[in-house]
Amino acid sequence: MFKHDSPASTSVEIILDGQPLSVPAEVNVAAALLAIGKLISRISPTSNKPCSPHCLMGVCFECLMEIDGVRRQACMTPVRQGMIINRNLETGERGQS
Amino acid sequence: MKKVDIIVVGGGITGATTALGLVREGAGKVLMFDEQLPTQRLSRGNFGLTWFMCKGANNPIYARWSRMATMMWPEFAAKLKEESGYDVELEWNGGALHTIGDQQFQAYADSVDHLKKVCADDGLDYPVKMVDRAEFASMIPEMKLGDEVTGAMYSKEQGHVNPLTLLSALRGAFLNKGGKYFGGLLVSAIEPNGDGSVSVKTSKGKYTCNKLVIAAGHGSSRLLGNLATRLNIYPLRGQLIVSERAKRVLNFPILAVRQTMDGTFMIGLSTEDKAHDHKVTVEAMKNQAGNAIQLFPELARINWVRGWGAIRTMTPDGGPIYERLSEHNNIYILAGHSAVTLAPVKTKHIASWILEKEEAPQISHFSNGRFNV
Amino acid sequence: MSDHYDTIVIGAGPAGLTAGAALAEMGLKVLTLDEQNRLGGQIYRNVENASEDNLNKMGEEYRRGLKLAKRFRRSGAAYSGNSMVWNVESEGRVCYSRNGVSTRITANYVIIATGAMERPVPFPGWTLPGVMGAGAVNGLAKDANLCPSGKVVLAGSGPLLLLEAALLIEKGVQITAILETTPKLPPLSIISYIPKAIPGAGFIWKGVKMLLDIRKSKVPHYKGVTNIKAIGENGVTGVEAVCGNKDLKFSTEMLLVHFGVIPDSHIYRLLGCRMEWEKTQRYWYPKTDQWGRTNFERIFGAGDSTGVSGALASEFKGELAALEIAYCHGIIPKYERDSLAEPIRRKFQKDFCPRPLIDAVFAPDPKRFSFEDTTILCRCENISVGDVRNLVKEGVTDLNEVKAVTRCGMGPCQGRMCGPALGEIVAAELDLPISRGGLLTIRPPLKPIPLGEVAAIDIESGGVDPANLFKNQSKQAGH
Repeated sequence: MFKHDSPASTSVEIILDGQPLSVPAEVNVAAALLAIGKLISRISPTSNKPCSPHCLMGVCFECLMEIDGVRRQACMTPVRQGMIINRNLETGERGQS
Repeated sequence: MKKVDIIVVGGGITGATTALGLVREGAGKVLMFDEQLPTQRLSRGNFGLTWFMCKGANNPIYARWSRMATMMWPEFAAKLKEESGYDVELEWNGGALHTIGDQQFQAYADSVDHLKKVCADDGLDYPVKMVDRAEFASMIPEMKLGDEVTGAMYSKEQGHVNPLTLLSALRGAFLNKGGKYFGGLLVSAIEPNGDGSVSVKTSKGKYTCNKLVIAAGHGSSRLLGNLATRLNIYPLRGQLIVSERAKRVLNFPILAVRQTMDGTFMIGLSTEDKAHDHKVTVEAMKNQAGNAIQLFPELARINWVRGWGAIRTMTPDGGPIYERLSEHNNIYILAGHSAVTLAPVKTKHIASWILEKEEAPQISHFSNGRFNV
Repeated sequence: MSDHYDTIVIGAGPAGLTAGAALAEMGLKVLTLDEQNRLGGQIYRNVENASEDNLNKMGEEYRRGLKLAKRFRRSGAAYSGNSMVWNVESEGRVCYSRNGVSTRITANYVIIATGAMERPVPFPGWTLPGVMGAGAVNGLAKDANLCPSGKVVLAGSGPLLLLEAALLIEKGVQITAILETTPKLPPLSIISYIPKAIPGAGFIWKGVKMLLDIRKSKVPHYKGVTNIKAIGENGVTGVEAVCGNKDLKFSTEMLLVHFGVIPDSHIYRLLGCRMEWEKTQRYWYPKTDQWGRTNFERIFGAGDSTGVSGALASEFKGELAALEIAYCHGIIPKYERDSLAEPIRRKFQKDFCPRPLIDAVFAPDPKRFSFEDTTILCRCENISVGDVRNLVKEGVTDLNEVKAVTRCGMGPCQGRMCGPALGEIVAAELDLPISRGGLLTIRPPLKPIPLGEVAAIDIESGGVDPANLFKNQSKQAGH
């Protein structure tokens, strides 16, 4: 999906959907996930279809995901070492399968 | 010139339920005029409770009226679905009012006993009981209760509904039964004619009707003008917090917190005397959020997505106003709050009364003049 | 940070940075609240950390951001990043959230400099993963040095779409096609704008050069395109469109869309500012005087959020607001304010002169947008265009009533993505001009915040009785 123009400077470890992963540091969570090829940000609770970040400037809310326990816009949240991120792709936001 | 049988001015829940009741009773040509003024649409700021608990502590007639209405709800919702195709999402799992601390528990228990007596004296039951913390917790297994919660007042025989869909359902049913609805229409003047008919001047021309029903919320006073004495309503602001969607864990409404079928939590309800200012205030939001978290600590992590503010039309004793003008007895005025709960009695009894078919004994107790004792 | 300021500036793009710097330079106590964690807004995204390579690629316009940033830093204006403003009151009170804590602060004046957003235009398939804004990819390049690795289709209209195309071409990204909805030939009416545009010829020349670069790359470039559709099940796999009498079909995993920019007006509407409708560019903007003051004495607007006129114009608007606020504080007398404002206004006029021509060339034409009933209008709540049309047919004319019944506009984005199109669709159904239709009501919070944070905000919560609905019913009837 996306590639680096120039090599990524540093990286941080996060836990995405229970899996530890390495992502570029110094960027927002949405960009970090796009950088490692994770396009889907959530399952819409109303259409039950997968969504991806759309505007990347805090307007569309398609990048809503659970970040350290609270649902936030990934594009407006700087990624940090040890962040626990859940996209709830199996069960959707409402925790219902 | 346009001549019809009945015109209902006001397309909120009160106007729409009455209009529906009229067409159900075969009232002939019925029009509903709705200005849809955003500032006056208090029907949009409704919590959606179909509730009789706590109502009419010193007003047994109102207690009975609320109780009657609540009991009619399940059938009312089913019929509405048939007539309009809209499902108003009625959930009939009871309703509760939680208590914080032992003193409040005792105070509520006393009020339950009091209302039981008031109702018994009037030949009515009052199926409300107190439940202690353990029992209350067992009713909501998937959410932890806050430490200070001591229990709740509870009744099995009430519930909640989607008030926004309700408005569409009422309007839809009214249209399907031959009523005519005019949205975005301004009524500028009401003129009783000598021959018993009433002329209604609107932004789209003049209409004439044999009977006129005014149910325009805060707009009613302006329409009544000097046709009658002052309408005894006053503005009382209510603010609501609406949350993001979450897993459904709360299946019945608690007065301060309810969860809708699609998972949204609604938190309220404040009462403030702020005249007609329907802004949302941070102070009220903080207060209500705090109360909700005191009840269910897990709500702290849920996001507040939007707020609502609406101005209730409150009456001095809380009961509704149903008045047939003494000097113009083909003009009726309806006002008050809790229109959602009372919806079934409007379609049945109020419509019957307006059509002079039958007058339920409670109606005369809700005159506009009863406050001037 | 103590609680009271001379001015709170919301936004750290060109307008916010300039206003903040200018005020601080005059000795006033300023705080800039920025939702992002690095200053620069959208156009100067991450400019303080940009590599020399990026600065070169993005051009002179981007580099100017560095100059602005330096001025801002030197001025001593306070900057608070990651600060999400969720409520503003006309008396000068602002609530914001930062690191899980919400705070309310006050100021004598508030400058709203929230900039612009890409115009959201629904079309079939626009909610599919892989459909993104052109601005989104531009931001990814500035923030994270990322660019698309596969093939890309660009669709929409406006100079920024072409700018992004040129940028991607320069980076070697494979563009399958550019689908421009702008007609092949601009309307004849633009001729009237040409004479005025001549002093800004340099700006126009840059645009022409950009078009030549695109032409040189041989990327298929279609104009007058209609019926854009994104195809796919769980992600975009192709794009279809119509160009004249040709049916176009492309396979792609990324569709970048851009239909011009419109002001980000939510804070103004939350406050209750008077809003006006811009006829040719088709957006709502707050009514402001020559200094940027809204109908509320303490509330100012600066930059693209008051009307889209570009980065340079935003700086000028920021300067003007700062001058007026300084005058109101008694820092400078009126004649000084006016004499300092004069050259700024002249520069603004000069910068602005090609704009009417460009705007006319790229003016959105509602006749060229057709919304199908099945197209999703409200992404958050999954409401279709048809759902809205049906309700209007039942007699509902008020946008907020449509919202209440259909839930369109009730989701997390609070009508940001569906509001503009909702207005167009309802107006078209009722055959009324949009200016009559009004706007969706905006209430706090501007963006969602956790209940726990609201409960903990450090303010007096007095004056509100919790649920005392039944209080007056214990009065005797007739009391």
